[in-house]
Amino acid sequence: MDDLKLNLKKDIIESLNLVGITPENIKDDQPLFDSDLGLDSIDALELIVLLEKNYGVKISNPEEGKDVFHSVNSMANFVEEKRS
Amino acid sequence: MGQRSFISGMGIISAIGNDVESNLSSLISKQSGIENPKLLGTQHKDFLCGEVKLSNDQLAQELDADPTHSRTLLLGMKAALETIDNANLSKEYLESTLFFNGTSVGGMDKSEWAYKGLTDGTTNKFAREFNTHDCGEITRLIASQIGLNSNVYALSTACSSAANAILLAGRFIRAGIADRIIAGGSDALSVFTLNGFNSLRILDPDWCKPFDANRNGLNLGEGAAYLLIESERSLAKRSAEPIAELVGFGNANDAYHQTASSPEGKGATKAITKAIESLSTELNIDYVNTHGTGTVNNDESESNALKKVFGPNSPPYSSTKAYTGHALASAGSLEAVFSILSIKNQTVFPALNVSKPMDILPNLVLEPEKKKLRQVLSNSFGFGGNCTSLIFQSV
Amino acid sequence: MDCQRELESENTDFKSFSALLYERYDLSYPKFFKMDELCKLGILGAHILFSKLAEKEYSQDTAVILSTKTGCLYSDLRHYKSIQNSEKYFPSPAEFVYTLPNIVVGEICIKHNLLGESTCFITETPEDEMVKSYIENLFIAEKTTYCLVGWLDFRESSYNCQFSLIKKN
Repeated sequence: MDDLKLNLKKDIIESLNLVGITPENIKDDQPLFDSDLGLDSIDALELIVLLEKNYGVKISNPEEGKDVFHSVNSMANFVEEKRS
Repeated sequence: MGQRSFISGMGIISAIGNDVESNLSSLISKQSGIENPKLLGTQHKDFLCGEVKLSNDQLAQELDADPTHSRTLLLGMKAALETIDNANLSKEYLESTLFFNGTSVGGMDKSEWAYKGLTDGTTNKFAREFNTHDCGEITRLIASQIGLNSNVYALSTACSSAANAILLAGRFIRAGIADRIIAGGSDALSVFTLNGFNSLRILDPDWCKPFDANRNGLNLGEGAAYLLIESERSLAKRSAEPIAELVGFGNANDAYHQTASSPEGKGATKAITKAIESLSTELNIDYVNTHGTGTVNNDESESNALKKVFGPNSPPYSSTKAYTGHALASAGSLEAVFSILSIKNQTVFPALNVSKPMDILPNLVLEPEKKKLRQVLSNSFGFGGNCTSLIFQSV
Repeated sequence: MDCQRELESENTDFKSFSALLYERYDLSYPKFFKMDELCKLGILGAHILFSKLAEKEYSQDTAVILSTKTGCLYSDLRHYKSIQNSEKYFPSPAEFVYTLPNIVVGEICIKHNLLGESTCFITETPEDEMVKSYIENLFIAEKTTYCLVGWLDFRESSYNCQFSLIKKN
């Protein structure tokens, strides 16, 4: 699970072009939106693509994404759940 | 205030008709042109679109043109030639007419297939195919095919492109810089655009329902439309009759997000207000042809803007995008033609597919209805925060 | 008052060049790194221009009138490549957003909070008589006081940004 969270953080930083941010800067339970990361609605859509591309996990409805992308924790839980 | 700007001719091709008369007939009979795409070479046949019902071969045959032309070019030619014919614009006057064209797709419909051929080795004609990719080149080609070889200008401001072409024409005529301008836009459906809009998750999987409380996105469309806009002195010289007058226009930037509108409709409020302030005559807006794409975001934003400007007694309004789909850059000119048809026929056109109207504004038009119409406001709001409002008046 | 900044470069990789200017001119705008090259070019030009001015030297109603020849061609190509393979089909919404030449106008307006008139012309060259007439008319007829006028063009081999801020006399 820790590996998954680290990979998610690296992927988030790369796919959202978060220059100057390292995985250490993102806490597991930190709300990804409404935070210093400055993410917007397009970033939310990019995260949907990220999960599908890198983790094979699909979100069909952007509304579902609001809960999934709350934090790295919720993303990791979602991926684990879908994989099992 | 400067020269007045009259519309003395128009032409249109859209999902609901191949000329002005057939578009009017569809609007009055509530006949939508949105269905599964039959011509677009996409695998996503499940996405409903407002496709023009003529294939490139059919368009080319009618126009006596090359069937391998870009569809944006063919649609543009069809509508522009109808405009010239409709206005009885002779060759002598055509030569000194300017051409302002809005497009976002340009020749993308052709390039996307040529590129495929380039990568899988099925074509080596790539240089010629890509020549027409550019928005400027498509504009130049539409102009040259209709007999115009100079004073040709291209704008590309996404969904407000054609509306901005019309705004620019109004400006130039008012300022006395030009006397006669064909202004509007053309955009064809493309796989590029369909896939892109799908990635933004703003397509309705079903038939769109602008201003419905449960709206769920837009349907893409295609088309072309142009107005011949001329000064009073040019009308007199040609002994031509005006159909309507362009009495107000305004543009502003929403400065909020690349693709979303501010919830309170800042840019839209400003554009509408500027159009009203620019009026060369009294304010008498009796109907609004909205941008109304059917997305949760636009319709809320636009409703808030209209409420801010007009207060509780906002004029009757509707969107015609449930008829035609969102024809992107050409939407503003398609809807300019619809606004003028409204005025000419003293009829408001209904919103389609609405079960439960949104509760921000009163007076969503749900049936075609004869009404005294003095002025019609037409809105077009593009990605990049570009908001344009036009006001047409009866003559 | 007329303030002109010109950035022109050849044979220099844009990524390095833009990162260098970002630091040198203290841009401090993380959204920059999400943009495509055309928008980065425009944002740099606008930032450098406006940073030399006090806030009262332009207003929220500043018009933004830009022209371009090549437009967003590189973003078009990127989006196009991403939709080619039906098995590895992952179009990026963040890339698609930039497949319109006028998004750079939007980005400038967002960053500098400009709500005035804006447009984007497709022209062969920076000097265009029609655009000049349009801008003159903005000042005369439209009560515009400030106008950011610019030409920008991005190609991998050369990129060009010429911006001016014009004030009505």
